[in-house]
Amino acid sequence: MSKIDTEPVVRERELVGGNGEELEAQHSARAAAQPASALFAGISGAVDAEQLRARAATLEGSGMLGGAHLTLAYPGADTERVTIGPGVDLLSYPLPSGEGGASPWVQTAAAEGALLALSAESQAQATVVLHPDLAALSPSMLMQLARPILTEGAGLVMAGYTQGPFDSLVTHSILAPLTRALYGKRVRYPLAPDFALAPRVAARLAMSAHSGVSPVLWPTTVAAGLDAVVVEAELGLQHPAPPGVDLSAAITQLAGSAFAEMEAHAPLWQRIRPAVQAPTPLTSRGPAATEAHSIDTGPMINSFLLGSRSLQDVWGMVLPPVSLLDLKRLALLAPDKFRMPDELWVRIIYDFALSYRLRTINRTHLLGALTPLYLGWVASFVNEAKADPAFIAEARTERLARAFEDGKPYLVRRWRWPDRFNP
Amino acid sequence: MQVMVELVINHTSDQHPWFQAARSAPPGSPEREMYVWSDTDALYKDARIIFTDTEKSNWTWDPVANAYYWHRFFSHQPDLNFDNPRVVQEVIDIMRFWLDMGVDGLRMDAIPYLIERDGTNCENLPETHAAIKAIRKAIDDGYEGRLILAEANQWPEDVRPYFGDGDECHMAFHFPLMPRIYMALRQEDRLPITDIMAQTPDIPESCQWGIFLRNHDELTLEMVSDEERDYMYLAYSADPRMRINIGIRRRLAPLLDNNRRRIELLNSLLFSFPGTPILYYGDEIGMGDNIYLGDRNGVRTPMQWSGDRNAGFSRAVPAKLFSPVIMDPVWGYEAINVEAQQSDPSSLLSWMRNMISLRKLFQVFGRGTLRFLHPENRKVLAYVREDEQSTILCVANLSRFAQPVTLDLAEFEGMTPVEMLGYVEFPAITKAPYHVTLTSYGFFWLELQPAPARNGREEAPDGAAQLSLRHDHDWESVFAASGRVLEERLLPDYLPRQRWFGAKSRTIASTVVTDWGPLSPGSSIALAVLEIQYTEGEPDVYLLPLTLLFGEAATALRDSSPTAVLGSVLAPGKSGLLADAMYTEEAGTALLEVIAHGGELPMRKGALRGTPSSIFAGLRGEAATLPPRRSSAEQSNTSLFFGDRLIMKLFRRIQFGPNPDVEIGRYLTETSDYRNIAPFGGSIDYTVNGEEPATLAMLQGLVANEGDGWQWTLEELDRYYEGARASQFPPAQLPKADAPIVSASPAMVHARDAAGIYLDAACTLGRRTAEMHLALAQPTDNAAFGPEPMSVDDLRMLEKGLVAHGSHAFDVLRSSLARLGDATENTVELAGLVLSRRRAILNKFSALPSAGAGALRTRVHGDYHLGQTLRAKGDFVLLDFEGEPARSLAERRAKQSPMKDVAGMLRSFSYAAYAALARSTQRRPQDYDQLEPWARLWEAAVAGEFLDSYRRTTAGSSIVPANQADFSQLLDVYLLDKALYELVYELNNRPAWLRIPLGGILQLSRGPVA
Repeated sequence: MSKIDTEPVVRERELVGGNGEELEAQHSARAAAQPASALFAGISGAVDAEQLRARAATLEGSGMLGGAHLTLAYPGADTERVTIGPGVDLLSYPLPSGEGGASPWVQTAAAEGALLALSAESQAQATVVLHPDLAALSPSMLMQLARPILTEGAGLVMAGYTQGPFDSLVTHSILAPLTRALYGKRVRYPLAPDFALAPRVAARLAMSAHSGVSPVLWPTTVAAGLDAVVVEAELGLQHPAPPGVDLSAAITQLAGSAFAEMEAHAPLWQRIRPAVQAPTPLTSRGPAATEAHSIDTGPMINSFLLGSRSLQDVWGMVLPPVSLLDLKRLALLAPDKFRMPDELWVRIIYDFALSYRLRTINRTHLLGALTPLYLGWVASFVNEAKADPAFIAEARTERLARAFEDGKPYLVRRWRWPDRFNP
Repeated sequence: MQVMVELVINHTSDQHPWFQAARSAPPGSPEREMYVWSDTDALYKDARIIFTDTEKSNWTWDPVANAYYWHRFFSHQPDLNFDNPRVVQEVIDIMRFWLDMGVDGLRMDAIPYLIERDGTNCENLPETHAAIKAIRKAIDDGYEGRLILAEANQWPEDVRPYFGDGDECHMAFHFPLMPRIYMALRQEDRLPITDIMAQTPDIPESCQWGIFLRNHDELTLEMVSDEERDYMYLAYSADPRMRINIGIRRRLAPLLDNNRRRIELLNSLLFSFPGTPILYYGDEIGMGDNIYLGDRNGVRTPMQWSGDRNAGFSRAVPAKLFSPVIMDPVWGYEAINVEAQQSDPSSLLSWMRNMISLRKLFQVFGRGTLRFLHPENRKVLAYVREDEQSTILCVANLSRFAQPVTLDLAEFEGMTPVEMLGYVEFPAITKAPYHVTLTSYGFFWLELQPAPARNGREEAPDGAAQLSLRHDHDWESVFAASGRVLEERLLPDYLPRQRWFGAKSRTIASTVVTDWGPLSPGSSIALAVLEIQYTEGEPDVYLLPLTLLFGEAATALRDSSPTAVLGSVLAPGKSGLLADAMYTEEAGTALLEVIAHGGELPMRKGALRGTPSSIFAGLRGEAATLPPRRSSAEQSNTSLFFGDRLIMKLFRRIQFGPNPDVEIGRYLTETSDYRNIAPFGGSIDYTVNGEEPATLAMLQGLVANEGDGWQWTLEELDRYYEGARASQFPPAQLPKADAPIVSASPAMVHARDAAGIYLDAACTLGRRTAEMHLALAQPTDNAAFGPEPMSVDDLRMLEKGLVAHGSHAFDVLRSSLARLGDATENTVELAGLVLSRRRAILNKFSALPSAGAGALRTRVHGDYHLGQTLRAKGDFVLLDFEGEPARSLAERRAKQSPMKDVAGMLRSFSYAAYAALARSTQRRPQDYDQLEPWARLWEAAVAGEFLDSYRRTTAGSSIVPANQADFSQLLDVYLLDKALYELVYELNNRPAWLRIPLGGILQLSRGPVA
């Protein structure tokens, strides 16, 4: 679901705002003034060792680490720490062997857990986790991620990516708006494979890795629990999509994990109210109408219709009558008129989260029943783009995120008093 | 799930091998010494018998041992000898056995009785605590994360030592709370609960109370008085078989007559009180009991899991069960069981589950502080649970009927109560009393949240509802291009959230920006004039200074004052906020400049005009800059301080025509010698279409002061009442409620002495008031100020108006009488008396034409009371000449008798006396009657001093009648009018304060004050 790399753009939220170049200069000046600090970076998957060494040498020679000593950990069998130069060491760690058939997110989380344990031993002032394609292993991007931790007191820096209007839609339609509404942190990619952590956040995330609540690690949730400042750094790149993952499995894994986190952190997110923040200028995901016309929404709508016929029993256990009625109306629309209102989608996600908690039915079956609904949402999203020449995907998902925030009282209400007798 | 087991360490069974060995072992042998033996049963005779129904003595003769053995409970439960170190060691070994098995907690049974000493009651002895410390140490040394729960059926203060310094038990049951919850419910009175909680001491941070409604024993009545015990027996155990020992052997549901609401109410208390709630099995489904079984077995019947054989508890042949299942049609297992309730979303079990889940979301329930509120209606229990993260208000109706309650939540002003079960927002809390109505046995858990986070939320960045600007200070786009967004979305959302917006209860129909202009070309500050139409009634015009902020300034404002934000803006390359400019320093400085420089500043349609007063330069001083600071005490206006020199009042709701505050301030400052006001520094006026100007802002010199006169008076009264409480003055000599106060009486002399410096202050205030009136009455060509005689027609018109106003007040009182409720019995009585004297009271106004003949009408303060004064260097400074805000501008500018102000201040003295009395007796309401005569004495003494001084200063002037009788009559008329005004106000807003104006009206109906 993602594509590759464009020029890096600084875009940081919450902590700072304003002119990017000025900030860059300020940050460089501050970083240079800092005493040498320990930086730990870890690659969360198998890498080409030669390519890694070459990159490490580049880091050493760049002088852009601002005096910070870097320990770079990668999966491998070497037992000795290898010194690339006075500023960079290489350290290998055994990649945890995932269970057979474990999803890429679970494998990544296992590697991240191992890296966090190593990082704790190194007593690093900032821990950076990077995607194994090494796209973010450049001096500038490394510092984009680490600098807010080292110099600005941020607790977590999550990467932002430059993507097409229809990339990462599970993230944009479920994970990101849910994270934002629940935990008050505006992070567009809550499962970004590139992120940086302050020591206390890293330590708590390491504990979370061992808690068994969810097989996937959610740094933003942990940071929210610590009331840490969360910053997003736009790296301006894209990673390749994980191979061979079907949509239903992805939804089951990711939404299920997000719902499990909700259950574990209910006291936290029920206290948090939507954040008051300035909007972000739209930069990364441009007009989408042209691309939308190349997408055939027919199969998605058919999948939704099939679901509405065959999954009524499951949906009936999960959704209240008013949502079921809305879905029924939706099923009667002509394909080009097919639109799923944000409020309905928000209620669907919240009600599925609640049913996940209540174990209304088997959780795998439950999450499987979400897939046709998700496809309905995607079809609606694409149809909107087709109909509006000025459609901007990021603006649209921003509106959806606000609907998640606006709908949060509905979730809290249902969560606290999950009576079936409701509208 | 974690497991806690009961560890009985006080005694064993008489069948235990230790005891069997002890019986046969010789005296003094290790086996024998495991228990407590005596040759006589006279030892430890001060120890009470616990199981009074079955045991006659704590000693039982053992023919084998040929000695008595000690048992605090049944005779088949001999007490272990904790004076023997071997016993302590054995207990520790047993405890380790269970802990090694993985048990998480131990409920230590009957621990107050471990050690016996003659001459004591053998409970809670220091040696007992030493033994418990030894046990705790053994746990701490060998295990982590384990817990001891103490069963010590004692008063809270006696249980407290079982926590030690966090080195004895981690938890202890709170026994005395349980019976008092039942007592409060049956008596429909919160007192038993608040009393016992007041007696509950603080415990170490690492410890916790265990609280419960029922347990496996009888509902113990050991920790209540004899009278309370009798009441409980009568209330909850109609059948003598329900009683055992010193308690009642019944389960929760039968105790509450199987009333679901009562069960829910009591559980709501259990879940919201400090401590760890402990549920007795079966009570979560409302199981019944069997009072025909012996001992306490009636509450120990098999758990009713399902409708299957033996209630799903056992597959044994029913006849072989140790305890029979309950089978009657109401309580039987076929009607009440877990399986059935699991499939019923409305079952008690489902309700309990939801409540437990909800409680677990909020740590504050377990660990937060508890503070009771004291509403007048004692059928309602209201308390606040608070920790660093949450503030929760719990309100519970103990009555079988619906109840209203009025809570003083002023300390939480600005917060929004959110009902926690349904996440429903209740009306926001203001300084005014908060009214709640509860259904029978109803309860609310209200989470007090800060103002909704919608405040200041930006609009979507898709351009649909966000203001797009062409440059940073593009006001044209704000008001013109995006005007619809501002008027239709941002302002209607923003205005009702502002404290200064006076029409919160009205529905906004439309908001129109009628005029606007930047404070200077390219300024980041602009002033907007808004016309707000409502669905009903007259429109209002408001002033709104606005600013555009970007970058860090926007972030800072958004974080510090989200309520100031109207919405978001998007300028090329950056985003920002549209906000209330009064939250920025720039706005204050710019507005001050407008006054300082004078002259006219054009807006789109009208113009602003700044006018410095003649003394502006002196007031401002020489400082290069005067940094502005916004006053936190924002009401209907917004005030800014400039250094320690100036204060600017920005009028939010603007009215066209001369502002009385500006008019009088300027007049007294520039044309009189009167100096006891805040000196007038200048103003900003707005004119449009050639109409009369409206004042937008007024500048005054800042007066160093020690607080306002009201607060200072209350503090003085606090001291006065403290003295009166300790006074040895014979109560019999205090004036009776309906008797006049004689100024030369010993009580009055005593009161004057006690009032101390306040009498001097009242004298000063009387003089300053008179001087103000004289200054306002000096001859002048200014038509707005020159004094005028009161004509006969004027007086008749006034009398007519006052009678109409008074009649209205009586009508309101009569129609409100029914809803005053029995909680304010005295008030109802007073109200009845006042109503019965309606004609006589209204007749008082007929004195007006004769008493007022020859008096003058002048400009007056118009809304004169202690709160409008500042205490400054032993003197008073008079403030705020705006008049009563609810009245029209013409009424506020009308010339009136200065007696209106005099009456206002006298009534304010009365209010102060009773407000301070209420405050002083809040903790001990029983002191009210003792102190009330002192309130009347203080009021009479202070009023007398004020009036004497006022009359001395105005002597020779014709602004008030020279003749004492006329003066008194005219004053009474105005006092009566003021008291009737207060009556209506209190009926509508603060019924709890109603007796103050009622008392005043009654006093006036008896005779003159002056």
